[in-house]
Amino acid sequence: MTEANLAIKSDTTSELYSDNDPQNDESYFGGSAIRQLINKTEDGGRIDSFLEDDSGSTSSISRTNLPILPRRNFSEMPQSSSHSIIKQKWTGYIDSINGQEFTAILSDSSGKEPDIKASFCIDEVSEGDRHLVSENAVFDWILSKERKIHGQIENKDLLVFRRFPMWKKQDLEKESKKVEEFNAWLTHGTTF
Amino acid sequence: MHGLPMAQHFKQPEFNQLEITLFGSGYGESIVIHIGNGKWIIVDSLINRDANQPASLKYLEDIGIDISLQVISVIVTHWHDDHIRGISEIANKCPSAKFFISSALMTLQNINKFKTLILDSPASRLAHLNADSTSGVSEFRKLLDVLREAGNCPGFAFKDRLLIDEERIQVWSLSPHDTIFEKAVEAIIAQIPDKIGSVQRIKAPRPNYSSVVLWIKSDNDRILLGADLEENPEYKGWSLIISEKKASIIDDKARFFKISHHGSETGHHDKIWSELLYRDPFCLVAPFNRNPKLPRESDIARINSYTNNAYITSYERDVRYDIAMDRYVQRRLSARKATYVNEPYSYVRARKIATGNWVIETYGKARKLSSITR
Repeated sequence: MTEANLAIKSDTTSELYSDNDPQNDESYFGGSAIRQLINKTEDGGRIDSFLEDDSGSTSSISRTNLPILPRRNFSEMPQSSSHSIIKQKWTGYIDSINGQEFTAILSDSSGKEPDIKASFCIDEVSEGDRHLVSENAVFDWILSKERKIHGQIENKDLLVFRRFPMWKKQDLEKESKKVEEFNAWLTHGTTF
Repeated sequence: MHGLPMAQHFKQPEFNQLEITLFGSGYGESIVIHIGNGKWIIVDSLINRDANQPASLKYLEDIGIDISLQVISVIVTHWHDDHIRGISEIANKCPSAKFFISSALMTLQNINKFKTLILDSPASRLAHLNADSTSGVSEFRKLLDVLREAGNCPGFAFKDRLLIDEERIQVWSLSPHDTIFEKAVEAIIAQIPDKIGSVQRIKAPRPNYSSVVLWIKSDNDRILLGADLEENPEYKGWSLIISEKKASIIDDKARFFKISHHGSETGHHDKIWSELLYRDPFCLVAPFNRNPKLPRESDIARINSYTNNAYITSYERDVRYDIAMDRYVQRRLSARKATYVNEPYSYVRARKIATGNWVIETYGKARKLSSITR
């Protein structure tokens, strides 16, 4: 059985990845792309050597302008990793809590979209973060698309509450210096 | 757009024409004032959601103002997020402007407390963490950074201080009163959390008794800009202005009033209307589209009982967020009942004409308050 056949058998994705796709990640082998290419060939398209096997010999199908997929050695491919693409991320805070629901005010992290108000159920918050749910608590709302090893796509809706960080010595020194600078400026430059 | 064709909206005021324009989008308010001779003052800041820039700068650029030279002063009435967003961008783009901020946060006596709030490590780190969480504290910090970098030290507004003294106009601050300085800073410091637990947004302490109320004297006009000053039995805001008013400053009543604190009951004081304002004054109000939503129906009825000339910059409620984007994102937004926080760019503009009367023009969702029906 050739690699191409293996790929087609293991395909579960419905998306076509190509080298021209800015979201293409070379660690993924587009099984469905192969299927689509073959379908196109059956429809009369010409495909020529879009795949090579390990020996370097080409298949008998003809070359065309359809996307060229990178050659992959399956044995070298990671079997458990996946890749996430953030579709949109907001940061905001809890404005009010009403029973098992809370309402939040959120700003788009890219700064390109207007602020929104949205409602969430407390049981959507992961158990480890649930004790952080309180009015004015700051959290991130992340919508992402995860591409799994065999090409499956999973949409994810994630709430991540921010925890107060531990202080580092460098942080304290940096801030102390700033305090001194501001103090000098305010003391000598301010007009009351 | 209502009232005027677009070309008229983009027309600058006459060289010596007084103009006051209030922007309000459901969250935030800002005012621009033309004091004559091509000079402008900006009071507070909000972001125009469509242009993603301070509404005041968008407007001034639209009408052809050179903001780098013609904005001579910027007054920050208080640090709350709905009055300060974008103020650091204004500081960057208006280098000729003298900045004034409420002395409630910065007095010689309170300088150490102020530093604790905005500069010391825990608060500063908190502000950094809050940088993208709509905290007014972080924007205030950014403002100070910009001003310090530019060597532009701010001035301080407090009760009965002359801030601006130009050829035809004086701008006085009537508040904050020095008795509240201590409380104002302590109320904020009290919110700084421990170093464990969740990051908390620093919220605006209530009531707001540290806001800067402005009194403008221009020829025969007196103008009262109420900022967000509030009043309750324990904390005096308006009571102190009224009971301690100086005849040398408040030498007449005003015919023009920017209503305090989004028209709320707590921003109201009977004696504002009887002792500081003529009957039936021109009034402008900006709404607040969060929790609680202001003005309430009872507030609208009360304001309309005092004047037939009140205008509001917008009055929309819970408009569904419907921007076309990724279908999955849109589905999740719908599931979360997402609504816009800010309404479209809207303003009420008042220009004084040669007869001495004011002409009011509205843009976007702005309208007369009496037109709001249930």
